[in-house]
Amino acid sequence: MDPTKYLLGYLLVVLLAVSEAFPMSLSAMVGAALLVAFGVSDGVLSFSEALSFIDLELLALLVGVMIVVEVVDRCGTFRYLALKVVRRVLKRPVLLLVVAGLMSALTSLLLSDEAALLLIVAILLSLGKAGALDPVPFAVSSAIMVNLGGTGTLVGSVPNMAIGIRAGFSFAEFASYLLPCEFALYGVTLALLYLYYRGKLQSSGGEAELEEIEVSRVDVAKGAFLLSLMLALLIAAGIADFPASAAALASAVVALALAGFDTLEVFQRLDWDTVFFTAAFTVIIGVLERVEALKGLALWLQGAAGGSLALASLLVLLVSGAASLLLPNLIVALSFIPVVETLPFADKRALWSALVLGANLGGVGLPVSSFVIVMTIGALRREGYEIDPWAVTRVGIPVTAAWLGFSAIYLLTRFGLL
Amino acid sequence: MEELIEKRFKSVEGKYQLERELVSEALGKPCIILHVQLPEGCEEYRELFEELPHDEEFMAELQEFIREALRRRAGKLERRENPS
Repeated sequence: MDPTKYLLGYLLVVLLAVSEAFPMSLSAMVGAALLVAFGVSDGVLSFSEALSFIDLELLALLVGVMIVVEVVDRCGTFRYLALKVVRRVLKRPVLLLVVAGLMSALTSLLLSDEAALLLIVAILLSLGKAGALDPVPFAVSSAIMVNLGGTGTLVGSVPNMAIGIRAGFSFAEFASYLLPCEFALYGVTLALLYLYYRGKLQSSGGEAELEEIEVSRVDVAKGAFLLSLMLALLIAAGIADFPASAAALASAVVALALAGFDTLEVFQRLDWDTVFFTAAFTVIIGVLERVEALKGLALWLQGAAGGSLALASLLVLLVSGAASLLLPNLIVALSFIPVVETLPFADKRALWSALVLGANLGGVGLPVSSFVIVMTIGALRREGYEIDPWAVTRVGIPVTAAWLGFSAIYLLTRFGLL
Repeated sequence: MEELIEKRFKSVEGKYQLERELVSEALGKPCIILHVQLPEGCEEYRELFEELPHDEEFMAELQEFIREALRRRAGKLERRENPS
């Protein structure tokens, strides 16, 4: 079976997704329809087989987490905590850089990158407008930290969910492999950001310190409880051996029932573009696996690694990291999953971890590939601050290089590959 | 690049505005964010128009205008509720 036309169909989807000519979900659905039509007409699969490529467990985990996150976001728990903490350090710019960065990363560890960034940038720009600080260096640093946050947990990003489920990692197992690396990277990144921005950090406190925080304490507590419940159920899923998706869905049902928000409004605010994109793209990858179209990349990796797990892990890290410089990280993760599965190593924990790190950490190198960076630039401009997108690259590229370099050392030591 | 920034930000602008309003409210300083289009017939003043949000004098005038508008509205509402 010549896989050329299937690969061309895949490339078309990638180009459409990158060009953003259409919503990502539509590009993926067009590609899925095309590839399934090729497969059915070539007699390599049936339509019902193509439907079975949709990873329902991944979608259930994704939707469950999205519902809980949306409800917790509405409760204002993170908003309250972030405001409380940021106000305490408002007059100390270096500490503010560290605190805003840590808040960004930790918030995106639990919320989506988009929700975490909107929250932190809205706080920084509100304080900027009140004359309390120059928000530009703090907002760009926070965007970089948001991109880093979420690497260490199964539910931290959609690529993590896809990789974690396919690797068979429980929530606790995933965190044990990747969370230490993420925490160490916080230090590396904050040090680099401080070195880059040290002459530009200005915060006086302004009149913002005089204001009181007015939020519903009941809602804040409700949000904290729902988030804790989801984390507890996700950890329990690993111990009692039930799927993480069941834990996420159960948490979502409790969240909807307890929070008292309009359920339909919550549903409307979910990121359906990502849900449908994930469903359609898993079909595309399923068809490519069936016609062995990704075998070439797997064979190249295998040949280049020469039987060494250490080298294979480093190659997966660097190739997926370089790919996610240019492509959305979900495309990179879903495309590399079958490649890693094909590699002939009995213990693939280091390879899966390398893929998580590569797919997550390539994102801030270029503004074009980073949704959070572009979103931050857009928000800053909307509030009247001038910022050159390419100036962000001057900090994004060294940070990405440091992340990938540090991750390589981490993988070699954490999995005893030296 | 400029188009990409504009396009991507537009896709989350509604959420950003909501977050911004919630943060201002939480800080005890409610705010509203308005979209004001360049009025018809003022196309030649586009640059001046785009500078308005950064013009302190204009923002002070706008605050005064809002203060007056709120007073007028509150007065109207009071008269409607207590016609005597």
